[in-house]
Amino acid sequence: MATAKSPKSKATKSLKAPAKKVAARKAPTQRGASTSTGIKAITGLGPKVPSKKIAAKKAARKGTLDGSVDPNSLMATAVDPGAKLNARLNAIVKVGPDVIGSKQSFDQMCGILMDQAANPALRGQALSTIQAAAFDPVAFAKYRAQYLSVLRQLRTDPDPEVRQRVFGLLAREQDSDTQSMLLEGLDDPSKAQLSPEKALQLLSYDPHAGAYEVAKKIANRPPNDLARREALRVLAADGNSVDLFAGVVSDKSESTDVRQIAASALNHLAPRRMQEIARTMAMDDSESDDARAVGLTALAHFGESSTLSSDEPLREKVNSISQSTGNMNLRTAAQGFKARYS
Amino acid sequence: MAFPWTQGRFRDEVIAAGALAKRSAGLLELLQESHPAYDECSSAEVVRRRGLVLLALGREPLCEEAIPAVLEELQTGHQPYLLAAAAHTLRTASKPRHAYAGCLLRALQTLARRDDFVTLETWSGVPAPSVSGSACGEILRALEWMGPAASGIRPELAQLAGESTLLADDNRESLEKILAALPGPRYADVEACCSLPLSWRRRERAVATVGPTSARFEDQDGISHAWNDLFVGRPSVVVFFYTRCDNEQKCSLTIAKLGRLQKLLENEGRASSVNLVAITYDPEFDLPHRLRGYAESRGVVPGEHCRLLRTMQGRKALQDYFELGVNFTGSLVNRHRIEVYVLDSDSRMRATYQRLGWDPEELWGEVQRMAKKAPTLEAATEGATTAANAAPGLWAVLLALLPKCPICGATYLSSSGLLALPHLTGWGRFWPAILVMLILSLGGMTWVARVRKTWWPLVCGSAGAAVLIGHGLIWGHQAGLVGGAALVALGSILAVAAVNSRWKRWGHWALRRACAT
Repeated sequence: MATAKSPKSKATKSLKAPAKKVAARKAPTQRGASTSTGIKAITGLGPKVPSKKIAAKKAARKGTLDGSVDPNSLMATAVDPGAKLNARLNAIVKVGPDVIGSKQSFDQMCGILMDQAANPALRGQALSTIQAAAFDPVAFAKYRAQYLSVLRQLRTDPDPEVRQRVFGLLAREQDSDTQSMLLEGLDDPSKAQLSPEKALQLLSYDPHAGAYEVAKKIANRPPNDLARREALRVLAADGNSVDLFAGVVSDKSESTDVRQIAASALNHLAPRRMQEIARTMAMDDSESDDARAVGLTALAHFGESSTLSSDEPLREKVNSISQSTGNMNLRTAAQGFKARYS
Repeated sequence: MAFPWTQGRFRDEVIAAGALAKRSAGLLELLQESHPAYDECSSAEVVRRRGLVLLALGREPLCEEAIPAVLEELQTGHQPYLLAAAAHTLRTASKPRHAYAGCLLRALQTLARRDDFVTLETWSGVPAPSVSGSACGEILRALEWMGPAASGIRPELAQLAGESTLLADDNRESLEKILAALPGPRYADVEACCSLPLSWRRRERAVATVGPTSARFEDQDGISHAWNDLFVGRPSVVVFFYTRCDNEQKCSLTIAKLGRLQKLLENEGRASSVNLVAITYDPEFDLPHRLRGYAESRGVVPGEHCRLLRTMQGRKALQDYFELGVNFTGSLVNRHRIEVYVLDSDSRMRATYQRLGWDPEELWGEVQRMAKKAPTLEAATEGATTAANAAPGLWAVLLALLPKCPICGATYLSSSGLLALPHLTGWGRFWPAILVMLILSLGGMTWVARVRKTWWPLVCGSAGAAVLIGHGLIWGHQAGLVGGAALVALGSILAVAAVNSRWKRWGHWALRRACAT
């Protein structure tokens, strides 16, 4: 049976391990450019960006021959609790993709990320750096298992921002245990780590997550408007929700944006049915102008031209709308329809 | 009412099946994709449950029947937990075989880019930081167990070991040790030494009954077809898939292979001699434009002899006929196996390729062999077909022999026609004729009812018409067709009885008896 050591212990144990020299993957100038933006975004302080010459001198002092910054010395700064926050942040940003240059660097970065006592900006930047490295799946492959394990341990982190980001990353990986946690939280709010709308949004990444039942419940009895919208977005991939969407699109008491979400979902699942409803909406003078504009836009972009070209009553109605002095959106939609089917 | 398949119940069932004398049969039953235990489960829950069964299979020496199910997971799986569980279980087989090597290689290649920590001792394999190991590690342990039997995949393993970024350091070290222990390639034909025996992949099927004739389909161009229009007249290769499948080793590869089979047929100038059909498991979502796009992007050119279909009517009949290995949560598939069926020119099933990968060349050979055997097969089933086709004819003759007046003639004609039509080849195209006959029949009954003031025949006929159209034609149930036609026929007889006093007395007596019972 498997007996590998835990990623956490690996991450913390190797903080003092001897460094390995690793080739830099990015030009120092590029790294410097991204540094400034990254730090400003995190701290709002905008630390001084060393010029090329100074960086080269510093690098030379640290013993690199090609002028690039040694990732090991950067990591040493990053993990040094006595160093200034800006210097540590700067070092983490500069390490960049070199974080996966060696097992030691990766473990050290994971150590910063998992350290709940560390500054939130530092942890956030450590996560961003690892996340950026993960974009190269081949280079990152050997660290993937450890990365996922670290993320799973952070799902209950006291910092809500770290928690939310970690849930997002795991949901994109379609991590089944994370999906179960999200579903559990939606079923029982006392166990929820995230708001219902965020949980639904993350579950919508995977149509196989089994979120349709709970999404239907939330769509019918939403805790808030945002949660309802997200629930409808989840259901947009459910073939059994066609009637639900047809009802929402046709319901004049619903808000325009909710009807728009429903119209988009219905067009995705049952385009012919959407065309029928869109026609009814366009012909109905008692409908809101915004809803009629949605209907006409849907017909103009997705309608069956053979049916619509021969639909005289609809074409007359669209003509009268386009010549009216009413809502601008509606007139634009009518003109779009005319341009397509004239 | 059936009890729901909760996690607790499923675990109890696995324990109970594991304690049986024929434990493998019980556990393999629980691995069937269509088992009710997987109804309405999320894909993640299906993974957890199947992992538990796979591990239970490995608690005792692995039996021969379970090997294809374990290899299927290694060959086509993509979830680290299931791959690790399958590799762990494979090690309990009586001895390593060369045929396992290819599947283990596939699993290792899959995990090289999506490895994860797993804990096989705990439910669902959720990694516990203190005791977890990587799924890749489990595959490597299985390769170590294989010993010299893995020599057929030596070059591929060496290539993987050479990729410094793919495997974690400890896994790469293990792989290098495995390679060092492997003898040099002993087989000239590595492919042959590692290929899976046909008996694990193919099942002979000699289903005497024709396919679900009530089923109706819509193709990639939105054109409607009946079963007999598509499958009668030439042999067919039928595959199942759905466009939202997230396993590239299943649906996507299946359709790509169908494309290769199509090219093979075209190259030999036999494109029109075989129907190539891909039917989606997910007809609500897989609209015609999605079917076409999915096929074209995988090298299939849809046309008259190669269609992608979604089932519009008779889904249950289709699922029962093919005994599909699929399950759903809502309308979405939560798990399915690879399944390819070979049908003869009478739309009878002859062979299936299930679970493990299939080869287009091999399948083409199968179709050719079947074409040669076709006369024998047809002769064997000719008797049964004749009897089945004769039954409605007999009904018509019997009805025709009943005493009649000119007015009742139309009623006889329409009801006998109604009984006979569903059994005729391509009857689905004649549904307007069925409706006309039905209207004619009901019209006759209404006339009789008004003249004779006897309403029972009309009630009976109308009920029959409703069942025939609703349950039979719209929902595609064979029982609805037969039951509805029988009710209409009964209404016709009662109408005749109402016209003829003797028959009327008999009808009243029969009705009284029926009401009394």
